[in-house]
Amino acid sequence: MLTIDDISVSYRIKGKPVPVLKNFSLQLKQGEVIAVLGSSGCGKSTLIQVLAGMLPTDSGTVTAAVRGVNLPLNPKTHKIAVIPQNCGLLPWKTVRQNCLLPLQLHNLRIDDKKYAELEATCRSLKVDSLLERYPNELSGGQVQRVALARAFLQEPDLLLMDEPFSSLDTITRSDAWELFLNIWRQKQPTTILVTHSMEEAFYLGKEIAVLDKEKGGLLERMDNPYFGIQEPGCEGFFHRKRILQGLLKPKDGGGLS
Amino acid sequence: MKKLLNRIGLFFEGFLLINIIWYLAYLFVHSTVIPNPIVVYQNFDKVLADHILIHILSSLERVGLGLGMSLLIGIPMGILMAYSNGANKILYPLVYFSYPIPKTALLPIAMLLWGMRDGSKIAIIFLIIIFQVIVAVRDSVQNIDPSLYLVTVSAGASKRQIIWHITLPAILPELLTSLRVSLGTAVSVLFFVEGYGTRYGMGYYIVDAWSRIDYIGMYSGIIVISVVGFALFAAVDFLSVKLCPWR
Repeated sequence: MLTIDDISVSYRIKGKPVPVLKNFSLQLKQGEVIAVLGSSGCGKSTLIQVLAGMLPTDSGTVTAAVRGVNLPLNPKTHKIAVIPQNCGLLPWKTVRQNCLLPLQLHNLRIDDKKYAELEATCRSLKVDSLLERYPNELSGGQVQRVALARAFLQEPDLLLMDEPFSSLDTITRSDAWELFLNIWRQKQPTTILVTHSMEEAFYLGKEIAVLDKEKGGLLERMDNPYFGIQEPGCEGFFHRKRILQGLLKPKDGGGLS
Repeated sequence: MKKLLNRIGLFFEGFLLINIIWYLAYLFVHSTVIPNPIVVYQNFDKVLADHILIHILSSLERVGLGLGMSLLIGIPMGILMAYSNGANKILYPLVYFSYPIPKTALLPIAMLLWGMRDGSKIAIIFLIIIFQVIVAVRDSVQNIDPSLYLVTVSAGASKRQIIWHITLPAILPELLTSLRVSLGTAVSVLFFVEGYGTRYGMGYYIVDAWSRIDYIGMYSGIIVISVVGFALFAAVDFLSVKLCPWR
């Protein structure tokens, strides 16, 4: 169980604190995937930064279970995997080295079993033939799949994804969604997916949350019965979509995809 | 590797062209100041007998010590300036002001402070290289994609691991590029710094032959220093290919 309890986060701009998240709370069951939507500047990426241990909170606590015990969330005690927007592969490491890096950072022994697991994970993501290549020798879709392989190989307690599919073209993106869902169903890590795409949120989130830009908290949280279904096309789906569109509509009249 | 072979090919083309120009200048100018290149190359037996290898090694030792000190001090300083706003605020104006100062102009001060022997020579080479190192390191650390920190910090990386896995590999290509330039400058400055207080070094060899009006010997020395300069340039290139295979 991941419990975010009443956290507030602010940035300092010219010495003055600018609040981004205010009294934000969220609970997520083990092995769930929630898609977080919100207009730009609402604090989606800030949430990822906080959970990844990059940004301290002004107040509040975040705890997550490790082997059944709830502990304050910390990269040293929890296995946290992040897939940022550009995937964050280290350009000077090969695909193999990139995939094994988080295990190395946790000082875990990389034995034959782990190597076999690396091969199997990469095979299921169709990147097993690219293990000795450097990231600049890969296409956008391949970079994406390597980032997924690196994240899942860690067997993370928490998987954080910050608009990881946004730079892909439509066809590559739906292939990447498919591959993500396949491997996610096998390993089922607790996952927070931040996205600005409603389509992506419906396809990849078992639940959908909407952040409130004005108040810096949670505006809405709903179950998503259309998880894993591409273009459901039924009335219930359109009804939910309309609700989300209403919630996400900025005051200046713009909208989300 | 192919890139390296291309560069070597380019070197030989340039070498040939320079020699042709030199030979034509010899034919048309008719002065002892421009000797026949063939006579200069025939003089290399004498150059070897003059223990040119010891002269080369003495120069390389000075360049090596200056370079080593620049890296030892410049790399941590560049990293510190990139990661600490406080350190950058204090050190950057100093670096910005000192960077364009021609370091050879500081030679009299270096002589007074560190004497006429190797101290002042190494100090000048150190001053030539260190600013390039600091600026290259600081800029490349500042250009590191923040998402690399995100993925490693979230995976539990310690500060030491971040320096090892992110900072050092990120500065390497830029550092080697700047070293290629600054080593060239360091070799060219040998002419000044080895003109006093020593009897060994490629710079000394040229100045000595010049003062004895031995133009053949002087030209031989210039050829030796040029070849060594190129060899250092090529060595850094080779290191870039070997150490930065992702480029």
